[in-house]
Amino acid sequence: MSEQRRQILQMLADGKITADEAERLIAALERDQPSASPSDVDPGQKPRPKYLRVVVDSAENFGGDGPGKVNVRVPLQLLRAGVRLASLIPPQALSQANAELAKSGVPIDLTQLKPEHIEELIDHLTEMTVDVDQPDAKVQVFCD
Amino acid sequence: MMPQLVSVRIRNERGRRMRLWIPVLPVLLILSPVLLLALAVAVVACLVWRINALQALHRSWRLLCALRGTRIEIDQNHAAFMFNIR
Repeated sequence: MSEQRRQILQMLADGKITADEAERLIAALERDQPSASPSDVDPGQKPRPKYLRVVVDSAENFGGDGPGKVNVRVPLQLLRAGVRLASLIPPQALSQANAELAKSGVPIDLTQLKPEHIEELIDHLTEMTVDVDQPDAKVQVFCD
Repeated sequence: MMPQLVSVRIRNERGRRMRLWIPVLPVLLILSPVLLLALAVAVVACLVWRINALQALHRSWRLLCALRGTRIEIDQNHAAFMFNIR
């Protein structure tokens, strides 16, 4: 995380600026600092990932439908934009969505998903890799 | 920047292939009357739910722009489906 971004988040945590102001500042920061050229990247630091990848490779007998492959690439920018849009949803609608998610066995509290947390979430996603290896299928979830 | 091209490739189990390249901007222009109507409905809905309509439109636009780079490929036996937003 860059120093300027950290300062903005600190100001937000201290209550010096509102969430909307923090979001605007971070957006301005991103505009001012477009994707860094490879020479600008600290060699010790991994470049920021752009995509969330899900790769599934199943063998001949998996599911009885023959071999299968799934390759999904979703831009992380979509995650950011989605969370920012979702932050406009009124709290009562979020409560209803939470209740429906809980009923479906997905106990996620959407009211806790705030735009100011998304950068931290994405930073942590960078370090996340899920590998599921079975004799007849392989699933990988990672960022690149 | 908004997506420019959506490409879809489908191959069925008999090996027949279909490829579609859909230019986004011309399609949006053709659908503009419907989109304007949808926009009006969305603004009214925002006002009813007391959501900042301008902010909602701006963020929806950002969401649309963020779709660029999405790619979904599914291969099953001899059939395949590929969806790509560029």
